[in-house]
Amino acid sequence: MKMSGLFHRKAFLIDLESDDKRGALRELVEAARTAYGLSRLPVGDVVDAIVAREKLGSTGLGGGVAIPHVKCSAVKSVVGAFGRSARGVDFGAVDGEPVYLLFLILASPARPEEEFMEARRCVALAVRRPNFCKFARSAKTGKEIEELFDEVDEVKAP
Amino acid sequence: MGEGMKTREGIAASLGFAIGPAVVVGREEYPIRNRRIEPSAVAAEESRFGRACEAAEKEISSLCEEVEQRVGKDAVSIFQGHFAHLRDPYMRKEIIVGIRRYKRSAEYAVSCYFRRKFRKIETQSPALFSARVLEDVADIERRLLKHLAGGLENGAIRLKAKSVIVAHNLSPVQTIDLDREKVLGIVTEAGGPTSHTALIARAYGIPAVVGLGAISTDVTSGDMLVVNGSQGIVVIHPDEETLKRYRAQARNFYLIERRLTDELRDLRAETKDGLRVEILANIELPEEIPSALDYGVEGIGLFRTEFLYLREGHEPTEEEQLRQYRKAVELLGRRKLVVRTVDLGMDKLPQDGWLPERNPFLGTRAIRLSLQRPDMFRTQLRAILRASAGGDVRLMFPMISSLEEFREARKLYDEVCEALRREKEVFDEKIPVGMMVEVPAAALIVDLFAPEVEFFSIGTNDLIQYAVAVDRVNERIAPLYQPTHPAILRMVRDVLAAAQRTGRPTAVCGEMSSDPLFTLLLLGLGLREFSVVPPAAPEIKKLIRSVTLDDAKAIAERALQMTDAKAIAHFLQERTREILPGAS
Amino acid sequence: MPTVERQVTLLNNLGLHVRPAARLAAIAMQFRSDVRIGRDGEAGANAKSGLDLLTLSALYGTVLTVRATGEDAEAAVEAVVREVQAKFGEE
Repeated sequence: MKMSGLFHRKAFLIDLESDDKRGALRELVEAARTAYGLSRLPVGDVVDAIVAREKLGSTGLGGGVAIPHVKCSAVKSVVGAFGRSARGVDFGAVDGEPVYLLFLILASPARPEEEFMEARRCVALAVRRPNFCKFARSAKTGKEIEELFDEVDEVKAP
Repeated sequence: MGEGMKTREGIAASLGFAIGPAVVVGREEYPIRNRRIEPSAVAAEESRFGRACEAAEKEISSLCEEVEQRVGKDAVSIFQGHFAHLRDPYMRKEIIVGIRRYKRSAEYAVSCYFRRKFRKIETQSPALFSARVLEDVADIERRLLKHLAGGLENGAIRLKAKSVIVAHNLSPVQTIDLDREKVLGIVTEAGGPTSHTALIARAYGIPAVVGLGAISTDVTSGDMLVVNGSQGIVVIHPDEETLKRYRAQARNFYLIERRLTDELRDLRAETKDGLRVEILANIELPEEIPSALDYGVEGIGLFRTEFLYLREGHEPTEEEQLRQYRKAVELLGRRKLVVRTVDLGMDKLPQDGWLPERNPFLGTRAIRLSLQRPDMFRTQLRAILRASAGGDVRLMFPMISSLEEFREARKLYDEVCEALRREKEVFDEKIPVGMMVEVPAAALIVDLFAPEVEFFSIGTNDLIQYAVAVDRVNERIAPLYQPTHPAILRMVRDVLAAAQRTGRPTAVCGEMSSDPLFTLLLLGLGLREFSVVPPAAPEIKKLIRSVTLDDAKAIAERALQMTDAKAIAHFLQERTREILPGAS
Repeated sequence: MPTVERQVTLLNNLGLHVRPAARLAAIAMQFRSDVRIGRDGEAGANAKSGLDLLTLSALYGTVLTVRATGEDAEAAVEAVVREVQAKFGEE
């Protein structure tokens, strides 16, 4: 699975407006809805579902990154939306720090679990790469971030 | 997420049990605040970089001291190399150029330099790419950026409640700085039994499992986990039954096991009516031997040799193997050491020019691979034989499925002996040569093997998988893997009986042997040699000391009459508890 | 100025990782010549820079080409090759 396949260019929000978790998630879910033509996706419900899951345990891994993910029947397979916040969003992350890079993953409940895991692994491996996050955070343009995603895809993960 | 229970196996890095919610931790990072600086700020920025370098060097020096004190000399070499690289004059020069000529901030100049380095490493073809080197170089960059950011430790794991930490890997500093009050257990994807995570977890008494492979992406913070650091198992979303069992084990461990171990270490493993039983250990590395002996085992019933072949890059040479086998022999003195020849398939040990197999688990693995790679096999046999002088070494072949196969292996072994004799090498000429009984076809004809095979060891893990046709790693059908399946009971009974008739010693080295739930059953079925994971030894010894042979036989006979695997397990649990309250 | 070149195989279990790279760089630094280590005919890394050597990401069995240019090229290559053959004192 490739980052550039998972995250459509139209689902890149390089400057999130919201400062709060719910707001940021909402922007991302809406971006996904538009980018992937998911007219039947109930934005409010999906955001509620994600927020509820985050209460059980935050997907903020530390280092300013969060990978919120949820199953959603309006989605046909698995799609992603990327968001960057300049000021940071309070996500209850494990290191207590704000989150600056959000990778939302939406997957269809009808598809095999393995696909969902693949997508989460793909993102986790990307953010684990030594350059990725800090260049993503300091990038000036969306194009730069696209290049970062491409760089990840070029490399065969060990 | 409403998912079912999953069990993952890794490496037991630090003993004990933990039950708690996961906290998934990513890597720590330092952000780049500005990329560019004003021309007038160049000199100041260069100085800032210089000071950060000094601070980084100082930090590593004191870290070296601290780690040496807390953990030991071996862990220090990790940091010594880092120290040298921080002083790389070419790295320093390139970064200064970045600041001076391109007006980059120090952070940005450092990041750009290292990004170029990472790309070079990563764009090597997969066979050449070293993930470990990448990690080490990333650590060096991180240290520089940390000191540019003021030197405060970033990415400190701040736990709000007691949790189990789940990560790809923990940096040495992250591990040392853990809030011991809040960390219930540690689970990492990377790492081995001697990695710093393992060393420090053991020093702190925190249960840990490492080397699990992909797990940090399959667990979400908040998921309930059981960490079994004694056996290297992690359970995700444990069900009620599993929770109960582990809670009991956790209690046991902390209250009883420690005391038990000391109490029982030097006592004999014999029944109340004086029947002598042998308790041996299963190990993967020679380094495990001292701790195994501490648990009161009498020797090693299974020395797995796969570790030699799984290290990065290449097949081990005869000398490399000899060193490891000798290490083991020296640590044991005259105690028994049963060495199993390599048990790997083409999934883990791909062969040059050989087509990959559709089903490596039923394919060219273990003895089959050794026989098709006689050069590799001979090398291993030579090394084992050369290491045998002065010890009590025994040799066994894995996955034997026919008498012809055993004979072929034995023939190679004899040829190797002959060659060593000609070369005037000193070795033990009378090493017993035996086999694993793990393929059902072999289990059914033990009597045919007996004239030529000097001892047997029943590998119940694979025996059960083959006999019941279940892949225990497949979550959907893993519950079908039942050691108490009536077929398995019969097989074990029959193998033990056939071996006994022919006077061939037989052990059980699979997990079934290490589980106290099955001890009395196995004893009653005729087992006299248990090869177990070391921490299990005290409890098993205690159980054996608490019964007479007749008690055990009665239990086994009753179990053999029952038809339902679960009911049998339940029955065993009850009877075990009656004999030893407080046992599993 | 003379250029000297020799090949040597990496027989170190863990390959050219952090510690060996540091040791090689320290050795190369003792000489005035320019010293490069590469493989498969590539230009190779600057042997005096440990971090550059690490990018070779060389594992066990890699055949390395050591090339030095300068007055003490012969001695430089000799020293580097010997260190590799001695497995950097690790085993």
